[in-house]
Amino acid sequence: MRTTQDLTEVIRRLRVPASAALDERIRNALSRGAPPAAVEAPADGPGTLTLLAMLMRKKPVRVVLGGLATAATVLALVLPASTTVAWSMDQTIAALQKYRGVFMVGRGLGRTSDSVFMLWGRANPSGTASEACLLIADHKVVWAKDNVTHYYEPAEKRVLVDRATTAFLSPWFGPKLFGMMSRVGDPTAREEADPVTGERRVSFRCSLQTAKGPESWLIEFDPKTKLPTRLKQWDKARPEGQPALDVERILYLEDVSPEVFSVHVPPEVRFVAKDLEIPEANLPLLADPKSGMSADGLSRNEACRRMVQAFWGAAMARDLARLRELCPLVSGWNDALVRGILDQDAAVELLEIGAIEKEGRSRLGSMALVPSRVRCRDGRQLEVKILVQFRETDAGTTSCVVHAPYGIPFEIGENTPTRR
Amino acid sequence: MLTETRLVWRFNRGCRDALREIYERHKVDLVTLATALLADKTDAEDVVHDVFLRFARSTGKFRLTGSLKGFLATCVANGARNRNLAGRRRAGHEGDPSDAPAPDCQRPDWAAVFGDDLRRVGLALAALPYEQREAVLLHLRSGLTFRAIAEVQAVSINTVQGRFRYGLDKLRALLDGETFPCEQPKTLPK
Repeated sequence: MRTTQDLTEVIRRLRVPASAALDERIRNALSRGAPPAAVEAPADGPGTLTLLAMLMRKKPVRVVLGGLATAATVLALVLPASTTVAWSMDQTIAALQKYRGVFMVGRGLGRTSDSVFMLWGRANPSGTASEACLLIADHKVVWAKDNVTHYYEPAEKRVLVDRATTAFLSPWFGPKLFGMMSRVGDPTAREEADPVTGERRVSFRCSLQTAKGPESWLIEFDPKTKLPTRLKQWDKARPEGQPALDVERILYLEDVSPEVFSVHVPPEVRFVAKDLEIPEANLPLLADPKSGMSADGLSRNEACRRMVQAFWGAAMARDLARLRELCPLVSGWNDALVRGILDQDAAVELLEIGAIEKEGRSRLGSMALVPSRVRCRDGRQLEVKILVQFRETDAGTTSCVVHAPYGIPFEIGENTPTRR
Repeated sequence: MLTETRLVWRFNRGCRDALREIYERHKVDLVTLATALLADKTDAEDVVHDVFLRFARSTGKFRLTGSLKGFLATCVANGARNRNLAGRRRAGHEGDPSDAPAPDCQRPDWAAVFGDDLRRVGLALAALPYEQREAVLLHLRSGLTFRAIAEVQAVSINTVQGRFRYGLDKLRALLDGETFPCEQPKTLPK
């Protein structure tokens, strides 16, 4: 028992099983009602694609924030002394320009279970996010195309149809994202031999201190094609041990045929419109009487039109106080984060507000999905659907708030018909 | 971790199965940590029970900022510390918990709790001052960084590192053959 390693091992071996009595107490407590004030989540959870999208979206955003905000501390690019390699991020960015499609296969790794997925994606015209994608994972198939998302659940023999892009890959794993990454610190890379195949590869590692704790990344590039071939991500400062996300193969495609995103399901499968939903946990924020605007005396359509107009007005004017009032979900976000999100698309002009496209109901009252169309600073036009929540009081007054944009904005091409 | 992220996502939406899964995944680690800190399995299970009830009430508001295991271990350490302080107040001992007397390691259930082969480890841990024991267990068993432990103990990182080092030295000495205070042979009455 001389070394710390021995002691560590011994202490790790300590194991005290929970008694049946504790199991019973916890089980009883849970069945008595804890957790309170919440409803059961949908059985399918967020869907792996959404999760993947969340992972792929938020982490690079942090990278950007880390690069831009001096307050965020870039801990280190934990690269060993680099050798001279025939690779640079600029070369990768240049090589990626001609690719609009991607295929990925990988695993999300947990302590007790893995989630294997395959994903095909096609970038939107500006290369900021996917405009179409297909994910096969966890006994379900999800595909998004033409601003409509389908969730196929073979066990239920049904496809839920959502008329918005609610499954996506954002930001796109392309030139813009790697351009952002290259601005973090002073990236260097190491060329080495793959221990399995013996082929040469370039490993890019970085470690960041983020608001949510340390994270680290390892991206492997093919030195010949300069393209990324593999990606791992850890929820800790050093890229060691089991990663949280392991994309084992990244294959870039010049384009992906639209046929890929047209999934044929057995004839007995039903297509059902997906209900509008607001997570129960968000309702208390939306119920705040100090937020929102009055809808008394207005038709639903008129109230939605005024609300969406006010929302975009506040967003374009960067009036964060007003934005928080109209959209209480952002009330807990700091100014830098809100501005960062608004700057991603930088809407400068509201072009159109459509009539209510879909209605639903939450515990607070009725909900309405309202399409709007904006022009961005770079000239792009986006269709953004806004989910408006009405609050009806016992006193007979009505008001409304914005829950959030629904799905991701859909880029409207020159020939894309707008949906009303 | 993707699975953990998904689990927390489901938990935040009120899914009780997710909460049960979190409990099943972490209960052994947490009960072990609490037992090693408090040297009393009944108290330890009370702490774990309280932690899970409080955790359950955070549904919809919980934000995972590191590992779930680390978060729950920190909650258990805080709960164990409170229980330890409350016990000391009841017993009339006030002041620094680090000078708390070691728990009664003659208790017959001590070997039953950890098993015969690890009994001496349990005894050695119990012989450490509480703060040292906490630093050693949180770092070695729960994987918390010294910085995180410093926040739990509200002291500097240097102090935590010192406690960890002294704790390890003492553990090593105890496990390398020194007799435990509670194992010293009693002299027969003349």
